[in-house]
Amino acid sequence: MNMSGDIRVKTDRRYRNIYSDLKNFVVKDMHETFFLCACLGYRQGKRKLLGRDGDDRFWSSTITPEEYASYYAMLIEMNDMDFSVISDDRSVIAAIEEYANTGMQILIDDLLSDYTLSKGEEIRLDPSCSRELPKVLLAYIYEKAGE
Amino acid sequence: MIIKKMILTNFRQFRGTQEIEFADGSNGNVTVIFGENGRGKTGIYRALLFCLYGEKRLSQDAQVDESELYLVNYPEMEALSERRKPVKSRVNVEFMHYGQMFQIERTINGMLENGIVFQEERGVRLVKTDKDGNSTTTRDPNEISEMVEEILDRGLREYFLFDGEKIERLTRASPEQRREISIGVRKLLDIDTLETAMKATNRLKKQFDQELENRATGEYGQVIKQLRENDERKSQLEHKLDGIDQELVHARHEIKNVDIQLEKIREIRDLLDERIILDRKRQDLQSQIDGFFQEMKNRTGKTARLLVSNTAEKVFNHIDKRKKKHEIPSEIRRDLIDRLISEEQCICGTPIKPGTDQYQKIVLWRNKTTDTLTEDSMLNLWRYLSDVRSHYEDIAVQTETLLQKYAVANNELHVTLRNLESLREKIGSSERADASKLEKHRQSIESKINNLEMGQDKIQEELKILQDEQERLNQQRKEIEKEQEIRDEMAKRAELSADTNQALKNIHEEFTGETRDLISRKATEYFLKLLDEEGRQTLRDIVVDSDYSIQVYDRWRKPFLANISAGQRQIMSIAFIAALAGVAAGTEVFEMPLFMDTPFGRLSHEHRRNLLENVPDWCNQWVLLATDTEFGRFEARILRNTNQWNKFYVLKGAGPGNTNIESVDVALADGLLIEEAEGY
Amino acid sequence: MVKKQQLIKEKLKKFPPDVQELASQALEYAETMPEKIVTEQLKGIVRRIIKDKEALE
Repeated sequence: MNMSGDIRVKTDRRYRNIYSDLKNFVVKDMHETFFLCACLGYRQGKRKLLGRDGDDRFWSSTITPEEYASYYAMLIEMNDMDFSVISDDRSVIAAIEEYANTGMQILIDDLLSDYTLSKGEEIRLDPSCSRELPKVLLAYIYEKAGE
Repeated sequence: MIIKKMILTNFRQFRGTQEIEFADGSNGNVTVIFGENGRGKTGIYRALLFCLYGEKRLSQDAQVDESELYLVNYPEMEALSERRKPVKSRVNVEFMHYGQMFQIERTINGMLENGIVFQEERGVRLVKTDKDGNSTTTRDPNEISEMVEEILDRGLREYFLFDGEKIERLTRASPEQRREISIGVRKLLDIDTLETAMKATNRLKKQFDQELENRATGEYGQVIKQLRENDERKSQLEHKLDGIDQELVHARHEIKNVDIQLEKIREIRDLLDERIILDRKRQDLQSQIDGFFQEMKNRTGKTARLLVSNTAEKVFNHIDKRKKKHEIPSEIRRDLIDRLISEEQCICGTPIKPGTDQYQKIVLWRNKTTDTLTEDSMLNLWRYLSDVRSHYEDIAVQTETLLQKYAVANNELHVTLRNLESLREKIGSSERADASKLEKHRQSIESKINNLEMGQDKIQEELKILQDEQERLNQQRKEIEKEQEIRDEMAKRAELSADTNQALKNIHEEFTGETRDLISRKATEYFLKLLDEEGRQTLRDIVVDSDYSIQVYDRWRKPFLANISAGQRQIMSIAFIAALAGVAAGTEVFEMPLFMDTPFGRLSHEHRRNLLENVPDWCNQWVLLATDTEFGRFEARILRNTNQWNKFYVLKGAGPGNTNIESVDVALADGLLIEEAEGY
Repeated sequence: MVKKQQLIKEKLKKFPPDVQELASQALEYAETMPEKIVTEQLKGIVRRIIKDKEALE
């Protein structure tokens, strides 16, 4: 576990715009959205391979130590307390990407669909109704954490 | 510059010849000019600017029509209009500067003909007397202008007027606030050359890009084309924003005019006063809520950690248990144990045969240990998780508190909006038809302002999205150029222009950054002096952010703006304006007289006390323009105790469009003041 | 103002020589010319800088 900063973290390319919009209006940076989605996906126990649908989203150097520590904990728990799984950060990130992939879909289904516009495959925040989204999102996370 | 005296002749509301002698530091440096709204307090400042620079407008007059901006006293013009005689309006200012006495007199004639005002400047005269008593007179306007600019640069003059509206604008986190601050900072920097060079290289870059686009093909061509289109879209949006800004200023000015007319209708005055209070409350609550949204944005990442707290706990406990059992770190390294097994001997050297109990024990021991790398990982992770866990409770409490505070403020806002609505109906359904009509008009302007502000928000959001898109496309462009080795001359020219433009932008940002830091430090200094006791215990810094918004930090260096009171917000605003003036002056004490127009608005008694006690030390001269509702015996007592207040003038109405300036002994001021001015 | 120009020149030193040259020229022109004229003047400078650079390479 090196908390490597030189990995390009990927997400599904369909989510490119929603990541960007959330960064601009709702969260501080992309790694936060990614972390949130990873946690949501992990809690549901669902992961989805990115495969050829993935494209680069941000550098792992922006991932905070607290987020990295949480990712390691997730992988270890998932692998029955086998600590060797966190020796290679690339495979850690790859696994978390899969959780984040489903996590974003969960987030859209649970919450964001009321605040987004779809154009074909592209999803974007609807600026006309997303002013209170920081509050809605925070309340959602807080409530979910209490479940 | 120390102003000694001002003589006004038929200037604005001041009919005939009237005089003000300012407290000049010999026996105190505070002059209070006292009067109701509309009596001409700002007129004193206007007179100064007109006399020194020939200025007819203040920045707040941007939307005022030329025809409304007359300087010559209207009733006097009316009186002489039948005889078709012009009125001579004059301002004479006497001031000292480094031991030399200056007297400037500027004249403007005005005439009223068929309801239209005609004004004509009639020259300026400056008499300079040196320390030995030798005088020289100049009538050349250019020469006079140069001399005055040397004493106080024209561009800095607006830093020394603190008007209520400016203070108000800076209290709210809004695009207006950011723009006001950005203009203030940039003006201070005075780097027009740098900005021209930036714009020129940007234009150059666009031109080369256009040429490149005309020749480029395939994906590369598409990217170049898209970059250009986005650039054009960005310019369009920025232009639109400017247009909206202008419209907003105009609309707000219109509302002010309507309010002035409404105030004349006695029957609804109480309702209007109530509306002002409610409206202020609405604005304060809105500011608070905006602050909460910002804080929520900053908090989302941390709060998300709670979602996997169980996992973190579980893993932490697992490692902790093994630590407690001394399984990690292992006393003897695994590779050493492997060697013992392969050599079939104990540490002490005794041979151990496979299959024996001792051999089994060593194998079991080896299985329990982990390799060094994994062991290190576990111990590191234990440390990180220990830290992460320790914050869970705090995060949960802070998030819950924030959500609750938002809910309370939001509720209160809805109640306030409902009350405002019902007030509107009352005013609108008043029996006075003129009041109803004015009220309807007012509501339509308010609605227009709402739509304009929403339009502003929408455009800001689109600009952010465009910015992101441009970054992505520029990255893509670089990658394609690298891949396809597109290094022809056209691309190189475009690249050099872009790099140069970026270099100049970086330097510009460094300069503005340095200035922002300087302003932040000075603003903090003033802020801490003006704050009440409670504020001083919690609040530490004012910082001007890179996006030109103001943020206040508490002693734990956490953003605290959302939690400060309306009074503290106002203090913050005053401290900021003082900081701009301080940096503009470049000296410890402001050498230009400080004009402060009704600064007390939302201030508690303690805040007022701090303001009154501290400001006299910041400047050579303080001219405090105050209304009867703001400046009462309490304020007078505090000011008197500073021993700096020695001039008191009352502006008294003397008929429509006429004000008389009356000098009153400071010791007798209480007779004219109410016991308890409106405080918060 | 002169002091400011010195400061700007100092800050430019951390950029590559061709950027320094173009930026310095732009600042010099900007002291006395309006934006559009500065742009026109800089076109020639850019061409020269690129050509000189290629000649060296």
